[in-house]
Amino acid sequence: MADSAVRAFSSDLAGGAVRRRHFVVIGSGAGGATAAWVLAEAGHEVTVLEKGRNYFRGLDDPKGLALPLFGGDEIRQRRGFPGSDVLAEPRTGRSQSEAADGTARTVTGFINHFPATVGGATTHFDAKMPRYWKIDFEMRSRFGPVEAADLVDWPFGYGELAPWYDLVEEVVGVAGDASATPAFVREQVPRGSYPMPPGPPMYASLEIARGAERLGYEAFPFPMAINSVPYDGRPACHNCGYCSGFGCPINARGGAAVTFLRRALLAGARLVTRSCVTRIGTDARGRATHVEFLQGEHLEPERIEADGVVLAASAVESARLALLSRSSAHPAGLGNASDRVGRTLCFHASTFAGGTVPQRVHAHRGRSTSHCLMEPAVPNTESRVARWAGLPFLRGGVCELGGAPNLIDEALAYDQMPFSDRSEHKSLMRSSPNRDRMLALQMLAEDLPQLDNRVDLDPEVRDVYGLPVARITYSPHRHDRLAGLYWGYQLRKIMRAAGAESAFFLPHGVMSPLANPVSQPLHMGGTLRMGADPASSVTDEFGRIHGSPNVVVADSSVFPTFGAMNPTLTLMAVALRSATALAHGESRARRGPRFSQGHQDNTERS
Amino acid sequence: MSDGQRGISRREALRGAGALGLFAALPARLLADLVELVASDDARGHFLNPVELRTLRALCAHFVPGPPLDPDPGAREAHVAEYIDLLLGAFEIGHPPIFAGGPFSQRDEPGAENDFARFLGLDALEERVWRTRIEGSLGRPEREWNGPVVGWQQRYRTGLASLEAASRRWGGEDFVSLSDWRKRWLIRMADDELEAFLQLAWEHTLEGMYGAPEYGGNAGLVGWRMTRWPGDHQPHTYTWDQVARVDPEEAEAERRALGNAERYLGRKLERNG
Repeated sequence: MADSAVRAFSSDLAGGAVRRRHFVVIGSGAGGATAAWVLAEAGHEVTVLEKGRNYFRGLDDPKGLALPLFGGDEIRQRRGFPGSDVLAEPRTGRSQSEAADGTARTVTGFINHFPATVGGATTHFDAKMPRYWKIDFEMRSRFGPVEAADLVDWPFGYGELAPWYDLVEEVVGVAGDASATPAFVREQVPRGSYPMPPGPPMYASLEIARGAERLGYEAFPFPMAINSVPYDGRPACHNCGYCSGFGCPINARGGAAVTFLRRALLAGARLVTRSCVTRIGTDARGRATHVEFLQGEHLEPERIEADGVVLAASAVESARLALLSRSSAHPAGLGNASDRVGRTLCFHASTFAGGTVPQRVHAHRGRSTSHCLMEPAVPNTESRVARWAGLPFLRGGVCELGGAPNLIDEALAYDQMPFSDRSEHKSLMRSSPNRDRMLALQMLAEDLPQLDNRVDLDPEVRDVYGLPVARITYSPHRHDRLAGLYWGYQLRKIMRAAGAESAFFLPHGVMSPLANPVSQPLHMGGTLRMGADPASSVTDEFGRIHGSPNVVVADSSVFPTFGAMNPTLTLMAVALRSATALAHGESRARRGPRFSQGHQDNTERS
Repeated sequence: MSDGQRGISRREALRGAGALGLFAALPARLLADLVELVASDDARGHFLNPVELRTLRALCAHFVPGPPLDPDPGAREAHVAEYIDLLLGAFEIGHPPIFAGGPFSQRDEPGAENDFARFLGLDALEERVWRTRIEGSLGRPEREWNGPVVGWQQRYRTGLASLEAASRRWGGEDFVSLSDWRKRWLIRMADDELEAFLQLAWEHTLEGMYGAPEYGGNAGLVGWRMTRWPGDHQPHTYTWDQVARVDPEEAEAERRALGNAERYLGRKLERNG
């Protein structure tokens, strides 16, 4: 592992006198693990509270990781393993118009649930790690405003974040090919080489890529945190195929647990599982003083004192916890003086395209995708469709090229076909038009922030811990529906160019985004967004809650806009920066991860 | 500040990092033996009585038929009804088979240890949730965090009885004796309540047909053989070429198998794969 930058950062963190403080980190996923590492390396006492259980082995063993308890088991996945049990922790949902009518909820159950387990959602993600583009930080000033959307700029730009991106990529181990990246992407994300070359290309991805190239698109290897070679003591991926939605059985995937959290534990942080936080307590000035939680399988009430708190429970759960943390200083919930907590909830606008081909494409081999194309992520200000609709631009997002890998999912999918009576079930399963003969492409598009898309507390429905569940009010912006429709047609053309005998697409919003899990991209953000003005934001540029500056939000809740790329890399980079400010002050964070050597050169260097 | 003051012992903290105590002591052969026990026509299930089990076998076999209606083994041969019965009786057998272990089944390796067969132990919170799901809330306050829950056991008991009642109402026969097309029409005409049960049974049927065999279904891997699905076959996996290219031998074998099945069903072979 070429970890010189990681060692230098750790050394810089450890250098200099600090007053040793005790930080409680809520959540052990992408943001919590990252923050815990920074704080522990800086010499602070760190306690990570994780609601779920741990299925890794040897995370705190300096001699090395053992194999985890994950495996290629579709039944276990369907039963909510690890930690997504919708009977225990349902969510409720409704559309904006239903909310306006006073309807309490129309959906109860699964809504974009993340696993509550050590490592959080990175236990089941397929580790796609693109950077956000320069324009993602400047959407309002470059393309806004947009009617009925609360489009804003980020408080910092790509250049500020770039060295933090470099550091995250080195810690988690991102495989990619900078030289194969199209020029229009390189212009948006100037960068050096990747820590690893890409792994094996999937046949299905290559077939779609060939079709796309016939139409003038430039598909290229998706940057992914999956080892193509042994890296950081973890093996290369062995292409088992149980990837997206499954925990990696050999630790080849660079999720939060085996990277940042392991480093944090080795640096002295402690991890306490089965700890459901119920409230962040504050003093009369509004500063956090302690965290209350239910500990262990019998839910014993506990309380832990803290000099500071890192809130990283995911965009829905962090907002919910802020709303549960009412106090005299925060009567409407932590940081909610301006009624902004939970608002501007963004998913990604998911548009799916599929095409059936004559040959078997065995998408059950290898990663869940290996290539992407990004042309749809370029905002089109000349779009006739957008102009006709009175919108200043039309923007889709990153497209993942692959196939459909799971057998039980396939069997269930045939049942969704109109007028299906299941009599053709076995013939369909043998010939497999919706799995082994299907090329599949998913576009994750910009979901424009709206104030009325929000998380609040359901007035009646409770979880197994006895707490009000998160109620999600969501309707896609008409831009997002239009972009899904426009790009859906284009993506279907790609499928045909790839040789599909039949092709279809499901644009964002055609099915109820809350009622249908298929349209849920398992990305979410924006509920505790960063900004300078407390009247229109919840946190400042370092994730500190306005009015409670020793609470730092370190997940995608802080994203002011949600971009058109997979969010985890950006989440981790922002968490690194915010945690560094918490550990050592904002001036060191502003200097980037190489405090002692000035700002890192981040120009093209490969 | 000491650990004690924070209410968390050092042991608790280490437990979090070590994943200790997750394995139940469930012998590898036990589940297979439990399924075999109830696989005969007149056997009592772990939850269902012999009549209910018989009806469920007929329903699952209708959903996924085997010979003579179809050339490949179906739900009856895969022991799907027995898989469902085992799920319904999960808390009757000592070690509930809810989450199989990991990481590797090694089921292709004779004599190798099968991690899947060592089921994970549920902690008290998980057990409370899973008992609620399977047994229902039964009026117990600790299971009614969102009000009463009708468990799967009750849904199967009621649903199978409703299916039998509908069958007798329509043609005077029990469901097991109905011809295939009559079963089909009966199911298509189900009212909302019966349809909700049939949807639950359908999803469980697919799990028992196509899921990992360690849970008691997919006997002889018949669901995977028919679909040419490799299942978990780790630690041996795929080479670069097997990921990136069409496998000519696999394509030819698949073409032959598909052709045989279609000819059995008297259909014209249209695919050229």
